[in-house]
This record gives sequence, C-alpha cells and structure tokens, in this order.
Amino acid sequence: MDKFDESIKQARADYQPSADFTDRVMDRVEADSAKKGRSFALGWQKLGVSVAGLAAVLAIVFAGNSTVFHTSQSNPSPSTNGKQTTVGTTASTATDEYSSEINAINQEFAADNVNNSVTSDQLNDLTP
Amino acid sequence: MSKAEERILIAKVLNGQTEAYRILVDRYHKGLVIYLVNLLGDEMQAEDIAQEAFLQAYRKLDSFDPAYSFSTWLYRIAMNMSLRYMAKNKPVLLHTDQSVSDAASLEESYDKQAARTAIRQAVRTLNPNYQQVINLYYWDGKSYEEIAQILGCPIGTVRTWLARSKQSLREELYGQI
Repeated sequence: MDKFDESIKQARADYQPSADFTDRVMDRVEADSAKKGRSFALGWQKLGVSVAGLAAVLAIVFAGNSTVFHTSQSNPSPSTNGKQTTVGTTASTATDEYSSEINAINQEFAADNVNNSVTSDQLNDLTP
Repeated sequence: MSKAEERILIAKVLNGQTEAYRILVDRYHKGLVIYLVNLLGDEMQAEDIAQEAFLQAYRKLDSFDPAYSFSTWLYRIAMNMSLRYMAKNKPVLLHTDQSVSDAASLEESYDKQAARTAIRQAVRTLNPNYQQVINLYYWDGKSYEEIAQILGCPIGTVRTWLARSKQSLREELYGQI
C-alpha cells in the first residue's frame, strides 16, 4: 500500500452507532414476527369461517331445497376473504418491493460461481 | 463469527427463536452502519437504512443461502437500499478553496481531519460503483471476493473499478490527469 492508499484508508469515518440500535431492530423484528403470527391465526380463522359457510351451503343443496339453493346463489353470504386480502395487499406493497429485490439478490448469489470467473484482460495490470 | 455459528443462529431464528437474531444484529451492526456512514455521509440515514436492511433480511431469512456469509448478503441488501436513496438524494460536494498540487502536500495543506473530510467528499463524487469499492476495500476491509459477491460482479471487475476509482480520486484531489 502506497501513501495514497494509506490516506484513503485513514479517511474512513469513525462512528459509534446508537447504543440502542440492536434493541430498536429487535423491537421491529418482534413486532413483525407478532404480526405474522396474527396474520397466520387470522388466516386459519378465515379458512374456518369459509369452510363452515361452504358446509352450510352444501348441506342446504344436498337437502334438495332448490329454492334455498337459488337464494344462496343470488345473495351469496358475505365472505371476509376478499376484503381482508385487499387490505393486506395494500399494506404490504413496500415489503413486496424489497421482497422481489432480495429474491433477485439471491438469484445473483446463486449464479456467483459462474460470474466470478476472472478473464485475463480483467486482470491486466490493474492491481491497485 | 464462523459460517457454522451463523447457520445455527439462522436455523434457530427460522424455528421461531427470534431472540437468536439479536446475536447477528449485535455482531454486524457496527460495521454495517459505519459502511453506510462512509457511503452516505449521513449518520442518521445510515442508521435508518441499516435498521431496515436487518428487518428485510429477517423477513427473507428463509431464502438466504447458507453457502454465503450472512454479512455479505446483508451488505448487499443495504447497498441496494443505499443506491436507491442516493439516486433520490444527490450529494452536494463542499469544495474547499485550497488547491492541492500533489500527494505529499495534502497533509501539509490540510490538518489531518480536514484531509480525511476532503477524501470522503471526493469519494462521494465518484460513480456509485467506484464509491462502493473504495468503501468496501479500504474502509471495511473486505476481500476482492467478498466485494464481488456484494456488488454482484466478477472479481476482475472489482480490481478494475478499484484502480479506476483511485485514479479518479487522485484527479479530484490533486488535479492530476
């Protein structure tokens, strides 16, 4: 390393991150984890409601009451499914953006073994 | 921290032991924040992006390939976030009136702290790839291989960018062509 390299090296900004940095990250991680848990529980709850609703409709159909069947078709029982999915989709737009970005990073990492080969002209006399 | 230790911690986190993630945050946050401070020149923004990078890494931990180092993956995530931030917030270079004619006079002309500041400012005028290699190589002590993984390019390209960034830096600081 020559003098210029040393100058660059010494120009590194020294900085002490906030003492509660880790706590703040962990608060967000735990909140995220709890939110995921709630979504999971809500998902099962929704599934339970849907299955119960479907079973009720099928029971009516199989009972052979065609009038009731037609009524249920023209006025379908409100399902929470569509509404809640919409809300979730809106809230997670930013997360989806990062998610696809990280997926792209993972794909590039996976391809690293191929990409990291060095060609002779790249190694031309450019050692810093 | 060895890769094996990292794998154990990551497996614990994926099995629901969220608290294991604290060890990873504790281990890597200082280096990451300093890397981002050097890159962005803004301490608060650096901490915000570092926090967000840790959170996104946690969310996508199940897709992490343990063949790689967690820190390399984390830096890559943070780097992408930083580049997006930098694209939106172009840096302003504070030129000093003092002209510097050669390397030897740099430290004579400036006091040490001012010289460091001048170099950091000059680095921020370089194109983003050059800034990254200077930051990762000189200030973060990463190897060529690690830099190549973080930047997603061949090792030869890292060498080339490093040499060119040094040249650009010389020109910016000393006016040499």
